[in-house]
Amino acid sequence: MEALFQIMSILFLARILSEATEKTGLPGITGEMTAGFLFAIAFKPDDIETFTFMGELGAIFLLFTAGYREVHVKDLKAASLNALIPTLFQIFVAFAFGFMLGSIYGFSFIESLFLAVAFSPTSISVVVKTLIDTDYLSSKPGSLMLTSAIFDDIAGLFLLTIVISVATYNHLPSGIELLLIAGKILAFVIIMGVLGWKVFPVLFNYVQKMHAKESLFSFVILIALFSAYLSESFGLHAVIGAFFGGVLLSDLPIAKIEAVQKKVSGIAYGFFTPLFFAFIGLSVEIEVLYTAGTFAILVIVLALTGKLIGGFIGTKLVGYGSKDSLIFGIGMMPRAGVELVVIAIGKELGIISGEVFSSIVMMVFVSIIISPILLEMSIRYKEKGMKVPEQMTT
Amino acid sequence: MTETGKGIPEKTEIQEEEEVPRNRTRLSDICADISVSSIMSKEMTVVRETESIENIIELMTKTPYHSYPVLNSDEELIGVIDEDNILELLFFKRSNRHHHTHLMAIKALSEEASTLMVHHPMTISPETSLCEAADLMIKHHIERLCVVRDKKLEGVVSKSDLIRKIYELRRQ
Repeated sequence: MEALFQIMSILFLARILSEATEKTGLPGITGEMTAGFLFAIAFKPDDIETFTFMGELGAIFLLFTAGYREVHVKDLKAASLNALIPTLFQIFVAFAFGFMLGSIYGFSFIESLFLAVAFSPTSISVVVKTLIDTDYLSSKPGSLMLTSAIFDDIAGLFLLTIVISVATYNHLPSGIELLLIAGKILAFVIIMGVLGWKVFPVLFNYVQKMHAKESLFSFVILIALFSAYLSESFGLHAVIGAFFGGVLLSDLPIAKIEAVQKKVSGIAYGFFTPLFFAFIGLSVEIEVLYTAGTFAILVIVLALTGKLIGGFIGTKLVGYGSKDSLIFGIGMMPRAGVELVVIAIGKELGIISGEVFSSIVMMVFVSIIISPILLEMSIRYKEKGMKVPEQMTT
Repeated sequence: MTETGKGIPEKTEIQEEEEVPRNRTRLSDICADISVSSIMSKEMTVVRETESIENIIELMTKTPYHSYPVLNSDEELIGVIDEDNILELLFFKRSNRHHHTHLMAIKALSEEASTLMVHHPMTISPETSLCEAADLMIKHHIERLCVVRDKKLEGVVSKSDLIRKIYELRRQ
């Protein structure tokens, strides 16, 4: 009953607060994370085992739907290679800042690596509204941001795959160990590739003729769970497999019928992912932030400036002007997705401390709030020749 | 992971069921013997992959269809554009924030059919029976199915084509 009460209350709070934050112009995930945070303060739950499991399923569904609904292989092929340099730069600089911060604070190699990976992703959806409102979506830096976001997701998951594989060694892996990791990843990719190419089309051709209720929907969910399970058995994390499974189904017409997509979307966004974001909020230890004030501030500043500086340099290198490069850099600052999965996994594996976890969540909140504001200011600066405030250039 | 257009027919072709003795007077058995190729519309309004969005909107105002097959230069079916895609594009700025994903944003910038279309249309082979086509439409709420052979579009069959045929059969 305790678990039932937790899930019911948190889902209710998540929906109410998500609506409230949407009304104030912030993405719904801020409300969902706040729901978990407030629930923890109000009820101080002891046994959250069931809820934790639901949160983990939430992470699996978050990445499965990202692959299933959002990634299209053709878009990846069409994405201009021009975007690759700015993307690699902004990821690299943010990654380097994260690793450097971990090293300065004396973290272990693997904890520094998790911090670095958590610094790397970008969630472009946070600033799309600003780009629309300023008529900048179709501008050169606007479309570069969109293309970059496609590579960014893939790069973020690739880094997560590597870091989880390396985590099993807890030190810089030797040459043979690295080969073993590469071999496992390659074997997983080949098996999934063959399944997606040869097995899934035949399977779904049969499934669509089945008479059992909602067979098609069930099998889409089964592929998500199977891919997640398979990747775990290869030493990768379940979320990687779920994303991969989603990408493979994204080009399969029978699995992408509108009616099935709506059901998958309903169970993912209506139930599981709010529980995941609430789980993140519930896991935040506010008292840790008091003791780790300087560290938390450094996480926020370095994670945001890493993206800004990396994005700025990368864009300049491919021939954009300073103002456009600044706009691009700021556009790469928001986080609202993969990094939360990274820290949830880091905490689950006992690799990252409560300090790191809570600081990253704070960074996500700050990035969601300030990125659209800074982006609008930089666009206005470009258009009206207004001077950029000091803090935006640091 | 396949490239758009490639392999679509193989993925969605409906295989022939085993032959069983049929009652030639029962409607469902009669339908099982009729293939969609005999009732599909062969005169179709199609859209080229390079067609501009403005032209497609204009086309929608002049024709009664809800969706349009998209063909490449080799006459292969590579996608479908429907009214929902156009409406989402036209009202993207007003849409809720959770629609503002990067994929939707890319689609919102579309200037031609190939970037806006749905890349994974449901297709059937010309030999598919009326019963199988009806099963697909009813089970999965599909309005129109593209009939494809060797990736080439041969026709389109809609719910109203099926109803019209059943009506004719009942009156015979």
